[in-house]
Amino acid sequence: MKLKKLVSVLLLAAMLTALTAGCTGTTGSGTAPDTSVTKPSDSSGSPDSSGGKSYDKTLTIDIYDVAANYQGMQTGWFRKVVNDRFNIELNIIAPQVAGEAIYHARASTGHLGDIVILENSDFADCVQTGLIKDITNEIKNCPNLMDYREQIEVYNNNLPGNDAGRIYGIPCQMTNTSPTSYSQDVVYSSPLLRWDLYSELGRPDIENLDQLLDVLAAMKEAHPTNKDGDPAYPFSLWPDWDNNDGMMGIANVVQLTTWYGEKIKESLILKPDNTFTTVIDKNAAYYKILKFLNKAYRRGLVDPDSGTQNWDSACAKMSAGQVYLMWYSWQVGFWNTQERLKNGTAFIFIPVKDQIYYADSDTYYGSGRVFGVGSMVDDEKYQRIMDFLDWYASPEGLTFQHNGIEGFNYTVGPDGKFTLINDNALMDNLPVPEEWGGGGYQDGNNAINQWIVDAISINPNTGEPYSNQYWSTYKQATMTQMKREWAEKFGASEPVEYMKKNNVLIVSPNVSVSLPSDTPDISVIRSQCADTLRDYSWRMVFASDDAAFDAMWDEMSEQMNGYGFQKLVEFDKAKFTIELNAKLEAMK
Amino acid sequence: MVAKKYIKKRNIKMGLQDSLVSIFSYIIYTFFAFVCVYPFYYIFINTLSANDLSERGKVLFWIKGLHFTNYVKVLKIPNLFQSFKISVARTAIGASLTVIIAAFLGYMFTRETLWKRKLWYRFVVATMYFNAGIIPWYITMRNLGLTNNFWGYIFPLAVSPFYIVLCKTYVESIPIELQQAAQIDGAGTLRIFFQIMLPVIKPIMATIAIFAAVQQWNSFQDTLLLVTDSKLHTLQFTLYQYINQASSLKALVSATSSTSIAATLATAQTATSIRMTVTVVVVTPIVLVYPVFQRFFIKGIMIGAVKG
Amino acid sequence: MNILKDKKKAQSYLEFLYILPFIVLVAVFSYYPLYGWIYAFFDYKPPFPLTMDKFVGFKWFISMVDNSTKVNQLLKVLRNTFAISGLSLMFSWFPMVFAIFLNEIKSRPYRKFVQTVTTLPNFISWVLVYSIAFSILNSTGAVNSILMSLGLIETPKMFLQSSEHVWFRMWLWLTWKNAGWAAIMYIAAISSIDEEMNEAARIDGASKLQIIWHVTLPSLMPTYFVLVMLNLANFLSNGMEQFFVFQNAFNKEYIQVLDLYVYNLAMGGGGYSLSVAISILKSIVSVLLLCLTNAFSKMVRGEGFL
Repeated sequence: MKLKKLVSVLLLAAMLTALTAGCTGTTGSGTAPDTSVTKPSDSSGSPDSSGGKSYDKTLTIDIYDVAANYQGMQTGWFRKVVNDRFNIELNIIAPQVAGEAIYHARASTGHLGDIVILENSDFADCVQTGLIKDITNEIKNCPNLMDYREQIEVYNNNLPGNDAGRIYGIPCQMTNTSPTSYSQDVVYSSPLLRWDLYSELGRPDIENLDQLLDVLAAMKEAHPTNKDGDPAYPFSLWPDWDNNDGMMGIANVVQLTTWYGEKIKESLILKPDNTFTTVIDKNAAYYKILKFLNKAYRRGLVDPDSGTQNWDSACAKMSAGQVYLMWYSWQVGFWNTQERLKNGTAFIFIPVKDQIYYADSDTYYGSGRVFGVGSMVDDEKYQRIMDFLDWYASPEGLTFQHNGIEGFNYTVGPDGKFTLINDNALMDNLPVPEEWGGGGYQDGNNAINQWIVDAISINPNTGEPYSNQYWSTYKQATMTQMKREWAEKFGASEPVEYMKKNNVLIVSPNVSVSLPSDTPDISVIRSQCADTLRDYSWRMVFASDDAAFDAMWDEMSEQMNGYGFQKLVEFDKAKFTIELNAKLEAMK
Repeated sequence: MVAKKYIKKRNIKMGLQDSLVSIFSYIIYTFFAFVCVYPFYYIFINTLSANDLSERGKVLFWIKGLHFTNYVKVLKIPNLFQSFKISVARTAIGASLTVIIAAFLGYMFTRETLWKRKLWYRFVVATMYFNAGIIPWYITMRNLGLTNNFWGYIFPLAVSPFYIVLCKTYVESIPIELQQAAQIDGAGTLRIFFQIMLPVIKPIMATIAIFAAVQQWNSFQDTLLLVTDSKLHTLQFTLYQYINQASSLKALVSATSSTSIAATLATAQTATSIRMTVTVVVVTPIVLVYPVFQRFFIKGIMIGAVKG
Repeated sequence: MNILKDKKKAQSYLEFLYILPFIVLVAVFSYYPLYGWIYAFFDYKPPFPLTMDKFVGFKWFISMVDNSTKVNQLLKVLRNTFAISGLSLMFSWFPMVFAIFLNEIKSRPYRKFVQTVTTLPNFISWVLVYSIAFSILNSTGAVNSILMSLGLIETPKMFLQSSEHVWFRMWLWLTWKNAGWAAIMYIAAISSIDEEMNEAARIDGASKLQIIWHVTLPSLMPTYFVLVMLNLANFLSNGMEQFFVFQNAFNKEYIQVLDLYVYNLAMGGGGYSLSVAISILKSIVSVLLLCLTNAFSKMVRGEGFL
């Protein structure tokens, strides 16, 4: 009896809690899920809507977004900015959070979202199966999007099955520069060393990879530990980013093949002479870089935990000064501070004479993802969405996305140029003024995490790029002694300038082509070959001598062929030749 | 005389044996307890220590660089309280329902008079061994209107074959005389269940309650797929998402901002520091609630009723 | 006579009516979605709908064994799965023994403490377990530091990269995480053992060990037996998470179990059909094993457990 009472009391209490939690309230039970929940309008009067349109009803827009790592409603200052203008709430569905399965699940029901942001190849598939709305008619009335008309048309004309030339998608991260220019100051991957350690050795010229190892070994010998006494190594690697970014192989190798102008495209390598070879070609850069890492290991320059630690551990070591070689352009953020730049102890590009650096040009035609509108939206939503997307590509919208709030993240000078303030707003989640929505800056940041126009584009209101690192005010504020010394030694003010001057930069033009996505067969082969390549690569990094290394390489190649590697290569060749041809066209 | 001496000797021998067993047990269990507590202690001190030191594995025995930022940040997560309420609701309702159903079905499947008893028992148990796949499951849930719906958390988990098997086994160990006596007194199937069985199977019900409660408390895969409305997010989901966001925030910050991460390392969030903080936050309520159920494991609850 | 018979029949139907709602729940959530197995017979790639031209019959089933490299891979994976499941089976008595001897400890508070504390590892997710394991076992971690300062080894031992005794280590981690939690079931069962039986045995002069052997164990046997049988039918499923976090290029050969293999395959996107095919095979094997163990149990104990 007592138990029965206990159980019924528990049940009662639970039900009461459930009721107060509001769960039986707004969400429909027993009806098919509705993707647009219209609530009574609660926004104040008429917002700053563009074009004098009135938005009486608050609409909730579902955004299926492969770039987002947050699932839920947009909150904070960015929400207010959008809501004030369009009276919409953004509900973000993020496969990065929910897992791949959500794509399978939602696609099979015919409705991914009101707005979708997908990878190119998936987008093409969705257009073919009718999940994407044809926006040809509406988009003509969107002035900001029409600024990028050329890129949009090129993209859509390349969609398979779109002979009528209708418009379905808007590429992400387009620029208003050009398809063959490279506007940044640094390339994505290049050798980065610490200026003070390099200066201690007398700033020697480095001819090739072996000499680079010599320099690194000398650095380690002079400084075997960091100031806390923890062991320091030139190389500290990590396995958790392997087989990403459309490249087969371990991340710590595939990012370095671009030092020799070779870019890995899935299972192939694109060489500087514009021909393809496979990633397991012994004469190509993957083998070369893997050998380089193995030699480094045999000289005791590689952190022994590299094979089992994750990125966060590696990061922590970088920040603690236990790593002497970096290569990602953004990696320096883990060590370089304004302080260290002033003291000359920061990381900076040090050229190796026999290298030519590959870089993808400005993403004029887009970066590989696409915005689209779901085919099941009703007319009212459709209109609102198009207005929103148009604003999203406008200078006003872009300034909010890339720079934040005027007076909080930047100030405007008399010449119209911007100056950065509160540059730690994102990192330290600084509180935003109430009039802008309150809350923390980080919490209220744009959760869509993808832009129609890239930050390197020029802001017509200031004449400078949207990206704050390229503002003249910023460059003046961050000029340091170290940079001056570097400029003196290498004869250029920025790394890319050096590369251009010495003809060691290959810029691969940006093109807009539609590439076929994997068939189920190919995707299985790809996954098995990728795993084999990855596992053997790690073992080869730790190989004890050249003989063992080569033996493993041959064994690996044999296994991959057993899985159907040749079939995969053929498929990829057909696929990437389309891209290559477009690039060759663009270079004419 | 001899017999007494023999018994005394035997008693001493047994006494010795019993003490050895005792000592042995204490040693082994203390070791086991230590091995189980230390990792949790490790997690706890690491959440209160400087994050960069923690990440480099330097915090082993005591706190270094005490700070509360990790917890403050977690408690400040938007929607945390709402998702906490949802988790509590689903745990309480879901677990209660699962327990009652398991007890009831466990009992019913021991009734010889049940029509095609064996068939239905196998029907239920077999479901433990197959899985139709994500897509049909999602479509089914959608067709039933259980997406973005609180009851989508409850119904699929309500009938759980494993717990039913546990209950049935337990019921079978109870002397049949108990049921028979009640039947002779004219009690029907349901009455026997509520009045006779329920009080007697408390230990196994408490066990299942804990298992089911923890299962509900920890589950979030269903939220991932079924729920897009933030009001229905569970605690685990909100925290999982927080972990995800923090890692990409680091990359975003270093790519777009001139401030370096290096400057505020001690309090900057790492994925591990967040996971640890989250673990402490999620496990503490369980550890607090658990003793309530422990008392059902008291020895001697059992029936003297039958003999009497 | 007839009336009695009718009454009995009526009661049996009535009892069925009581369980009918739950049978319906099971049918809806577990049996109805099985139509999804059809995906294994097609070349399914979302968002393209399932159409007859994508029908491929048994292609996916055959593809798993259509060349020697793949067969070798699959055999290795099965070998790993069997090894780990086999170890678990061999030591499946562990939680039970744990519960029994825990019960023998006289001090109630200490007993409660140990019991609560040993369930803690169950709540630490595998991902976090690996983080902790890494902190303690890496080349500069606590274990290596202690071993080196004691002079037992000269260079740090790479515990996590080792391919030695992988199965045993995985079993150790699993036991650490699960034993205390699984023991709860047995503790509940022990607590329901009639106190009178224990008393009687003690009066007869039985020692602790003898009581355990003659009273406690037999009462726990039904539970233990049922659990073992159920787990046997799950022989092919070891779960994925534990092996996923501990896997790396160096121990892959020994650590990749079937569930992890399927996960790695399906993660290549578009591998959905293949993963459903493997899932079907696993289900068939499991149900078969279930029937076999039931028959075995009938032979040995005179009655099945189903």
